[in-house]
Amino acid sequence: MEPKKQFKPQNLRAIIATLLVILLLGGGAAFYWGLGVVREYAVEVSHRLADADASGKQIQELQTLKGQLTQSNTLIEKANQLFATPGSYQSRVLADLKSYADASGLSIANTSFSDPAGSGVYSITISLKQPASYSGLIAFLNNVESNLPKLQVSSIALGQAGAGGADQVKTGDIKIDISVR
Amino acid sequence: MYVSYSILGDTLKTAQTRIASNDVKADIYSDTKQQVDTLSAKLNDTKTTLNQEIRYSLVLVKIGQLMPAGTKLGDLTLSTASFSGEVVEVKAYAKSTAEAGQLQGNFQGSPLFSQVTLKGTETNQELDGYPVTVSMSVVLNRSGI
Repeated sequence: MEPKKQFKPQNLRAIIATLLVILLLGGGAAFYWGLGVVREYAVEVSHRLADADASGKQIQELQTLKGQLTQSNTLIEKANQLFATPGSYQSRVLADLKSYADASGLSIANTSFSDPAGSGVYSITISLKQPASYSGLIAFLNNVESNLPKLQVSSIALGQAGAGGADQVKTGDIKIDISVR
Repeated sequence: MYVSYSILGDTLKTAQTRIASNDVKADIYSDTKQQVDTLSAKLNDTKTTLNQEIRYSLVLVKIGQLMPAGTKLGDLTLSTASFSGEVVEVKAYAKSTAEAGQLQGNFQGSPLFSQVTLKGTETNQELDGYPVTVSMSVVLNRSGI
């Protein structure tokens, strides 16, 4: 008859040691996994914080802009004055050009407006009574170029007046672009 | 680890609340943004218009200053293209070839012009008292105005 196997203390120790190793390894793995989760969460939180800071900064900028806008009304008005409206530019430009010609001792002989429908460019072509004084022409152009709404001479032709005085020139058509919006 | 997670959770909630509150404020300022966009577009138009400005009055004054005594400007046609590198023909009258040469020298020395080329001089009586007719081709420099 074989002797009955006994559960020896060495066996229990071995089982406990194995369990302890398993527990330690499991705990280590769980800690490592938890650390990864917390790290990812920390990254998400840091992004959210950055978003919050950015949106806060945007609001501050908008508040500053609103303040600046309130103070920039004059600037807006000036920018608007640079442009005439499609409904009123013709009469206004004609009146302005006539007054500049009068002030410069010149006389406008003919005017014709371009058709903006095709080119999208608003312009007027004028011719002056001949001959014209060179200094008067310069004064006229200077006034035209300083006008509001903005007028931009886009072509001009000059020629010699011949028998006229030293200051006299012959002028061809003067095309002037008008800023309209 | 739990404590860290809880702190991070609280921080996330605070950040989300701030973002939500800022979104509400941003809605309030949406018309401001629209105004700024409109203003920006208008100012861009203005900038474009002013950048394209060529002051012909100044050009004519400068050309007048370059004409020596005894010369007169003849034919000259200027357009926007003249200030973008297009060659411009200039005709002038002089009392003698000396003044004609001086006129060419003045044009060549002026920052208003480049590529000043004498195309020819002609002795005729096209203009009384100015027997020499000078033809030149020039390129106008916008930066010289």
